[in-house]
Amino acid sequence: MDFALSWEQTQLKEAAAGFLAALPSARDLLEGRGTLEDPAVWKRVAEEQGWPAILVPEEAGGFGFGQVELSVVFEEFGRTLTSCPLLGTAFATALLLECGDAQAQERWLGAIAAGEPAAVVWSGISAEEGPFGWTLEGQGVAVDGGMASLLVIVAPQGVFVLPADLADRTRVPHLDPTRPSVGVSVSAVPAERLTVDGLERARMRCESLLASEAVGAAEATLQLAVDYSRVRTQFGKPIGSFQAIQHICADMLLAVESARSAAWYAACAIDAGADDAREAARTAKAMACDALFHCAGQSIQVHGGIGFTWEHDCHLYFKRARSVMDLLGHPREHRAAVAQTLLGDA
Amino acid sequence: MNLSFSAEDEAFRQEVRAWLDEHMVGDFARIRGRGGLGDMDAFVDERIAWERELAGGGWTCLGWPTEYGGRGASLFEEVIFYEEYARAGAPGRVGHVGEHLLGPTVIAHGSDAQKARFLPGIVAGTDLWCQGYSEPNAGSDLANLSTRAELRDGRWHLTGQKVWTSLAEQAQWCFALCKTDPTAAKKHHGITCLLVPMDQPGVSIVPIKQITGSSEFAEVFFEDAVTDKDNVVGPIHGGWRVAMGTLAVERGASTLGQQLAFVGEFDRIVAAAKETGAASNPLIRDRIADLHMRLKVMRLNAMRTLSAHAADRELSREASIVKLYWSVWHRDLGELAMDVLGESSAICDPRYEELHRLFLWTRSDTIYAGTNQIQRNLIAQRALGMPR
Ligand SMILES: Cc1cc2nc3c(=O)[nH]c(=O)nc-3n(C[C@H](O)[C@H](O)[C@H](O)COP(=O)(O)OP(=O)(O)OC[C@H]3O[C@@H](n4cnc5c(N)ncnc54)[C@H](O)[C@@H]3O)c2cc1C
Repeated sequence: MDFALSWEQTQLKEAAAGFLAALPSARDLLEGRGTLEDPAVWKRVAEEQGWPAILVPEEAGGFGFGQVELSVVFEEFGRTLTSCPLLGTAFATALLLECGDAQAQERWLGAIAAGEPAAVVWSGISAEEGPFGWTLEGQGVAVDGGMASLLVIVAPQGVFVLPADLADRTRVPHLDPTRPSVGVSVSAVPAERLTVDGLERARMRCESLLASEAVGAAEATLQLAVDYSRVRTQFGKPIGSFQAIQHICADMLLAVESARSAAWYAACAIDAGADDAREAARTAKAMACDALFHCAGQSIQVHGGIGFTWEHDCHLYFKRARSVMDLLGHPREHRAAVAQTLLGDA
Repeated sequence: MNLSFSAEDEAFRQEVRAWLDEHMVGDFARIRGRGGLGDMDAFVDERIAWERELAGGGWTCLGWPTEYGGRGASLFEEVIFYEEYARAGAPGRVGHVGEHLLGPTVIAHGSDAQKARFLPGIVAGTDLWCQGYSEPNAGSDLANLSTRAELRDGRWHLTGQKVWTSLAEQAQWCFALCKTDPTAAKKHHGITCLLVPMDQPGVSIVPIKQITGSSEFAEVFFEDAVTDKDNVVGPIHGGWRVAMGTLAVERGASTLGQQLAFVGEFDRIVAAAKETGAASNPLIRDRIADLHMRLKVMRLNAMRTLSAHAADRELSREASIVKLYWSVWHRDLGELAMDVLGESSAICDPRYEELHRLFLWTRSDTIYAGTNQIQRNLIAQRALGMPR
């Protein structure tokens, strides 16, 4: 029993934190200091750090590490609200890993490991099989997909891959400005169909990553609140000495730590191929999104008026919190699915 | 990261399980699942016999060092024992206060003579203890206590009142915090921890009927009660530090393994929801799933705490987080217990008696061993370092 980060995982966490701290912050980017989607930064992420290759099997040119390692990196990305487009790329990686055969993995995951950014459209597009193969039709949104050169499309007929320049792409404004998203539109566009039935496993990987990302973001909101409560004085005292503020922060800590336990376990269960991995990923996604929403809202409250301003980072976390909630299933939907396994149709 | 117990630990688990299977028979099988929180005054004689049965197998005081009659079990083994104990539905422990609160306090602060005198009876399951801390004017603000103790003619003489004393009627001994120096400049300075025999004319016990209708705690009146001069744990006037040590234990290790007992209660409520048809209500389904998820995470939190502190056994920082988490979870479960019963929930149906009990009892979980407000104060000030 050792439910803690290993030495290597701790190193990875620290490397990620150090790397991200040296980049322009989310605020810098939004204020035009640097760009949210910077190919030079992505190149460093891919080449110096190798994070896109974490899940890619060695045969396909990656490291063949586990979900736990990628989750560790995601927690740090969440803390700084960086997307960059590791989220989109990791989603695509999960689908290719779970739904692609050896050949597809070698080709597409090999490209990702070599530094191609990718993204996923989860809904809105359908596929049709014709005499010359599969074609796609429809439109959807690729979150964190502005830089993607590869697209993975989840359609009712299966999971498809195509080079992104075959699709029409337009910016879609997003509640969360740190998450550059694009609308993807295809009409009679050819695509390759992945042949392995692994969609649920891929979803569970993606849910687990979103959970870890949310844990990092939630912890950042707690840190902001606690730090501010030490320096802001009212009634001649730091506001952090008021019990009402202390209790808000204590509850935030409880939410963050519990969500972290859930997120770590989901990643472990996925790596171990455990029977309860499906449920563990749902639990992590639901609890971490609820924790982040709770913490991001409370952090605004602890900050008072300044927390409501455009200048302060609070709103960025709050917007992230709400937008991530609906991505890959609202907590309520995950609970409904878990209830179904516990209770049947009743 | 690795969530499996070692092969040695698993072997230990099998040993515990086999012993419980073999011994939870006859009279003991009849009291399966009884005597837990909210039910502590049930089957007391049988449960006292069960203490001795446990002691016979060497299953009391596992975590104590072997020199004091314990097993020197690791924190992992202790947690495994509690898990298996809950899984087997073994009855609520009457020896809990001695084993988990007084014993460790004597081991940490007591003299050799006290260790020799008091520990064996706890290990053997023959001496039962109660904790005399709270008073009418000293609850969360424990240092405000006013029970007086004076040393006269080679004995301590106690006068005052304790309240909410669990198991006072069953216990032979009480460890009581008393004011010994009323002139001390700070109120937590003049406090002493005394070991007091309960069976004497100066001690009277008035059971308090509680929300559940049963009486697990009592008022204890000391009217010139006496105890030997030597029955002081830690320094005279230095009982506050002793008391704080006990509270850390109270909020610590023994709760890490209780998750499996909660699994049993949760399953019971799921079964009731199916019986009553509540399981088809989407709002109930949402809450069942939510509690299920939080219950899983309760164990994960415990495993993280264990992994981090197996070696140093230093649980005080996490203890408040653990207590806050499980008490709120349990209270929510208690509320769900009523809601799955539907519109006839208020009718006292013998089939669902334990659900009523759960609903009512769980109101105490957020109060005893430090209220949730006190836990939040501790988390904010100790774990988050917020200003006082
Ligand atoms: C079932 C049960 C068994 C018990 N068994 C024992 C036992 O065996 N031995 C023993 O000694 N005691 C026992 N207790 C007593 C228990 O420890 C006290 O009830 C508890 O410490 C709270 O004290 P109080 O009841 O005086 O409430 P109070 O301290 O008066 O609290 C009342 C309210 O005020 C709040 N409050 C108080 N101080 C603060 C603060 N600083 N900040 C914010 N809020 C505050 C509390 O959170 C609570 O909501 C038991 C209690 C129960 C319910």
